[in-house]
Amino acid sequence: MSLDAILQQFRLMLNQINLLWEKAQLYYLEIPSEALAMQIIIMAIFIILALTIILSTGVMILRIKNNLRASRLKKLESTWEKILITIVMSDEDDKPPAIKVSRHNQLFFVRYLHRFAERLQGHELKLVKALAQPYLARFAKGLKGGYPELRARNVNILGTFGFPQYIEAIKSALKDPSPIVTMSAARALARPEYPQHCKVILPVLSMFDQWSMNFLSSMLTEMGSGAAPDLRKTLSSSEESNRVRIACTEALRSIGDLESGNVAAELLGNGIDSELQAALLRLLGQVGIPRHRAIIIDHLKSPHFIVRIHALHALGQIGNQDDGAIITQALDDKSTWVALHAARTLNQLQRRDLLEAALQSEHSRAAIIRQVLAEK
Amino acid sequence: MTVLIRIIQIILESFNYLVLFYFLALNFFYLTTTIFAFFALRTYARRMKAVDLNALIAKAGVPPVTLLAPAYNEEATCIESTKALLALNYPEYEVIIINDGSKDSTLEVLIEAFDMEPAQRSALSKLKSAKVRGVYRSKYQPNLWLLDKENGGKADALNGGVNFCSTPLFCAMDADTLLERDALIRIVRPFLEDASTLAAGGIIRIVNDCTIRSGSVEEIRLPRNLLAKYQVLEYLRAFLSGRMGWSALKSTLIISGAFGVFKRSAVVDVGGYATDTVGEDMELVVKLHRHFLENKIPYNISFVPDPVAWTECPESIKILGRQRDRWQRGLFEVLTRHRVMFMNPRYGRIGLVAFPYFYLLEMLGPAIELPGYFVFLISVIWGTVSTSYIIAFFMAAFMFGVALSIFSVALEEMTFRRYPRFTDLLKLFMLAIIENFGYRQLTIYWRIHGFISALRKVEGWGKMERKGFVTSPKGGK
Repeated sequence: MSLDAILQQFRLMLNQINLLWEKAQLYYLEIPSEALAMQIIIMAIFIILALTIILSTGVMILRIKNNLRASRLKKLESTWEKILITIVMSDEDDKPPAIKVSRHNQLFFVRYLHRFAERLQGHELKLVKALAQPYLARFAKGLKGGYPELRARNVNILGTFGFPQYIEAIKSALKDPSPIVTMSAARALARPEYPQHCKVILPVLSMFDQWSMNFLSSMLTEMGSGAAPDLRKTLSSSEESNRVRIACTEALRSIGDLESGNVAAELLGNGIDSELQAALLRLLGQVGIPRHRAIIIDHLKSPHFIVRIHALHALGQIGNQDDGAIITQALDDKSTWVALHAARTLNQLQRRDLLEAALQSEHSRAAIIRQVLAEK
Repeated sequence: MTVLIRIIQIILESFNYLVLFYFLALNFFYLTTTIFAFFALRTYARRMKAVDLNALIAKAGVPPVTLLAPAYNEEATCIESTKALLALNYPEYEVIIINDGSKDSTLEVLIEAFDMEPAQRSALSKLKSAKVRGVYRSKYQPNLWLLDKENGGKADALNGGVNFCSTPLFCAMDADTLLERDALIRIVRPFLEDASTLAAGGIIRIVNDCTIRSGSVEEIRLPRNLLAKYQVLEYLRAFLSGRMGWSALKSTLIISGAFGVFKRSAVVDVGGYATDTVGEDMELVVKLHRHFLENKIPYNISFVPDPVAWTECPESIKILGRQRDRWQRGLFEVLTRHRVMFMNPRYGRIGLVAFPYFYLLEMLGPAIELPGYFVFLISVIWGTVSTSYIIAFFMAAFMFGVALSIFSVALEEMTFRRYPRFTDLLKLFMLAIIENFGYRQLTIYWRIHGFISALRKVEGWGKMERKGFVTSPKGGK
């Protein structure tokens, strides 16, 4: 058919549509408004009815599809499980026999291996890692584009199976606009055998504003004592946000970095944010030495009750029985919380005699003291 | 006489237009929230696929939580519910059951079942609450506490619990609610991802006729009782379409009293639960919005669709009527108390969108809808409106209602698929159709009754009866 003939057909079709439109206009102009309203309602009813039928059918199809998919995957998983158990139970070397997986099921297979790998370690994990190797390139490719959640999952899979080949790919995910991807990348990179990754993780830490401190500090802790110099450096930097500094403090506390005690004591004298003060006092409680008692006792006078609580805790950890008198004063603190922690600190320092004496003198915080004395 | 007739005719016509406007506005909101819910749930489901909850616990740690479960005459269900609370998959939590001056043997049943003994524990905040008679602690479950206090109502009991709570977050729930094992882990996620989160609500599902074993729901099925079946569909619609949609619009006004997690300090700052309303759960959320918006403090209140709390729903018309009456009274009391927020730009989308919706369509709606049926009838008899027009209008309303219900079932199928049988799906479709004949009108009647009760300042919760959970013969209680 020539181009002219096609154009001719097209023009004819347009004319037909135009005629139909004009007819419809004439029809609707002629009928009274009430009847028009009725027609619109009826049309709406039929449209909704049609949509409802389509939706219901869609839901049923979805159910059938989901059931079929679930049963297919269950069958596949059970086949793979048998093979995997045979492989990990055998005395194979680091190169297990390849499992034949169709291209369609490859991603699912690696995700299955990922779940399976969580229960393994050492040589067994190495074997499972080897099984995943041929398919990891697809996950690395999946770090760009798609949904953030999928990119995050891909990062996690590469984190489990792709070390060290895919370290650079994971590092590139630190620049992802989605915090969930960046966090996954940071967590994947943070591991004891790679403390040097602390240098690339710390600069992105400020991105995780919404994340809980536990998330951040536990991630930094993963890198162990090798990361401590970088953590101390960031903690000392007044240019860093308080959140980042607190995360570093918490990580140093978990690591038990003794050198950070002096850093903390020095910073506490610098008039810093109360939350950071509390974190530093927690750190001192863990790694402090008797020389730091003076700065801790100073903070018992802080206007912030949270700082007073942590100063009490720290004193309970590195103080001695002679501190009992100072701590007993805190039982009269205007904050019930501080009083409770003072009582617990006395208990911790094995100064129950002071608690019992306070109880006998009908102390205003008698209920708290009784509670602490009853605690095991 | 002619003038009088004409005036009546004008009133009838005007009312018909009001009903039409109400219908269009209500369905516009329903459609909007459903569409938003669809996209939000789709994203959520994809996101959940990528997150491994156990890895989350192991690596990230979670904030400690105190579960506050007020119990009033709950002897039938309190053991099973408490066992479920103690079996949760959460690394660090306490359970405080608050016996709110029960007249039955709730206190004795709990003390005996969990081997509890008097213990010392002091209040750490001073929210107004009735006198605490004693504190008990389980000998073999050190994280289980029992607070025995004088009766003061649910809000008062929760305030009492908050006073004794020493964790940054607390979970408010009903003592007869069964939480799924992962419910806490799932519901605290917004707190982990957004430090400004003040509160998060979970989904409530109907447990009637489901089988319970060792405190968790073993077999999920639709209830046999028709009223309970209607409520299953109603809850799916309310949570998956309604609350999810409002949450996507960042306008969550309600977190169910049966299951919600709150930042303790924020709740203490706003004065805790209001004890002079039966809608204390909604009042707290509205109060939090108001406080943080007035003080220009960034905050987040969200709904999380997959942490599940199972609850027993009423199976008799009388009890269901009382419940709905109370809900409507609660809504009325909360919205009138905070009416300053209504259409007030100072409160952003809460004042300009969510509040007007709840005020005009949820609170005043039944007062338009129920008389609307009669006015339509009178108009048809009088001949001011054509019968075919009325039939067509009702057909459209009916079809739209069915479509929205089926959409909710579709959302459930798309995401959580809790009802495993194919026949359950078909039953839910059928319910979407038949609920329009009788049940819907009944709920409107109860709501209008509640509205009138609120105007008459009726107080109290009304007696609720529980039949207890169906336990599996294998697992015992």
